[in-house]
Amino acid sequence: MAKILAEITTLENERARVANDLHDELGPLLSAIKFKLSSIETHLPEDELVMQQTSEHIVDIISRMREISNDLMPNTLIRKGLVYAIDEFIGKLGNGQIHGETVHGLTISFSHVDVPELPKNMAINIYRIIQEIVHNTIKHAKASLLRINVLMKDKKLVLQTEDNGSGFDYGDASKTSAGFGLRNLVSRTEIMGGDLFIESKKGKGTVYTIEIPV
Amino acid sequence: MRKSAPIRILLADDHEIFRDGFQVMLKKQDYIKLIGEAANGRELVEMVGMLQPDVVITDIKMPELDGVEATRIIANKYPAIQVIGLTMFDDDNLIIDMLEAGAKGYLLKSAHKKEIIEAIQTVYNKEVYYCKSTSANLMRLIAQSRYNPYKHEPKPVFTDKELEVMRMICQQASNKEIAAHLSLSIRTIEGYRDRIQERIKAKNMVGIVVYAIREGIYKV
Ligand SMILES: Nc1ncnc2c1ncn2[C@@H]1O[C@H](COP(=O)(O)OP(=O)(O)O)[C@@H](O)[C@H]1O
Ligand SMILES: [Mg+2]
Repeated sequence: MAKILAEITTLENERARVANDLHDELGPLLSAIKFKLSSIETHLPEDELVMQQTSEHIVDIISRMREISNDLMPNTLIRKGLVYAIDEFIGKLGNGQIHGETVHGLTISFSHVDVPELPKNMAINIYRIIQEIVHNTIKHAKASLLRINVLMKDKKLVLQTEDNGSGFDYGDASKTSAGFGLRNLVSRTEIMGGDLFIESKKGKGTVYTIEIPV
Repeated sequence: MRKSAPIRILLADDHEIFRDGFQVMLKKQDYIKLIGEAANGRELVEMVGMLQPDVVITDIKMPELDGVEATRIIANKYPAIQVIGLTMFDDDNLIIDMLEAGAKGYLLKSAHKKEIIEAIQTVYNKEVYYCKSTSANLMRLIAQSRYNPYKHEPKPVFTDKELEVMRMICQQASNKEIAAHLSLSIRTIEGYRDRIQERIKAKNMVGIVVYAIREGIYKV
């Protein structure tokens, strides 16, 4: 337990550090390069083209860095907390569409009560748990609907998710080497001193209930 | 066009290299004049009081006082000074905070020079500017946020055709697709787009989408 806690803490600290370096140090440097390039006056059309392409490459690097930084540690999670971060995460999944909540035929709904401000580590753990559940649902469940619900019950934060997909046998799945994601759910719940319940049956969808004392 | 006095702008960012790049980029534009640089929000607020710029361009995450707080102060104390938020990545919620704090526009730090100049001129003319490369998610968030630059304007009335074009723009349809759908020429659709932008004072399709969602023309 103590070991898992230490491992997860180290991992998340490293992620935050790298995300920050990308976002706060390399980013501004790259845009400074882009700005300076744009001040150069070219006289030949072919030079103009090279200049334009170079500038586009820089834009590509910046947007790729943004994705990496955000995957490592969403800025919103740190700054605005869990609920905003989940909203943004779900919204971004359906990128390119205004109806951001539908991904590959899966509609994701998120409802929540007013969540008290959580310790940062806890917010990160819950966020990662939700990420894994959503990714698993997209990857494995063949569901058309995923409901995510966050509520408060007797000083506990309750996270409940429900999909209408294929369901699976938890016993079998957690034994295979693929089960890293599921194990992660268990360890992250454990280090928060919470309880995790998985109800899933082949053909009947999957319900996760995670209760965390706050 | 603006041959007389240049637009006077003040820049705030905690990275000196970034400020330097920005200054170099605008040096040759004689209708825009960078009159000062601040390294954080506190410096920015002080300098705004002293220099009274026309437009402030400010980073959002800064030490001492961040861009959101600085914007709130500036918008309250000096409502005639227009603020543009600058952000490295499209940190959606930071941008919403900036707009709600009183910024009239935002730009990604990866924006092109042309767009930056367009944004400066737009807010200088008391209109709002949304960055061209705004994600669909952010457009929805802006439309649903408390930020509403359209409150006081008399609402334009649109024809059914115009409403349909707006809805299709929201679905990310190209001019070609819209033209095919409405059995009109691409030229005509371009005309529609220009007219819609003109009437709601949008500078690009982002403004149309935000407007359409906010006014319930397009339902999300
Ligand atoms: N929501 C779900 N619906 C159906 N099957 C699931 C779901 N979540 C997990 N599974 C099954 O459990 C297995 C283990 O999941 P996980 O530990 O996350 O590993 P991975 O996602 O890398 O395969 C998956 O391979 C899948 O068969
Ligand atoms: Mg998985």
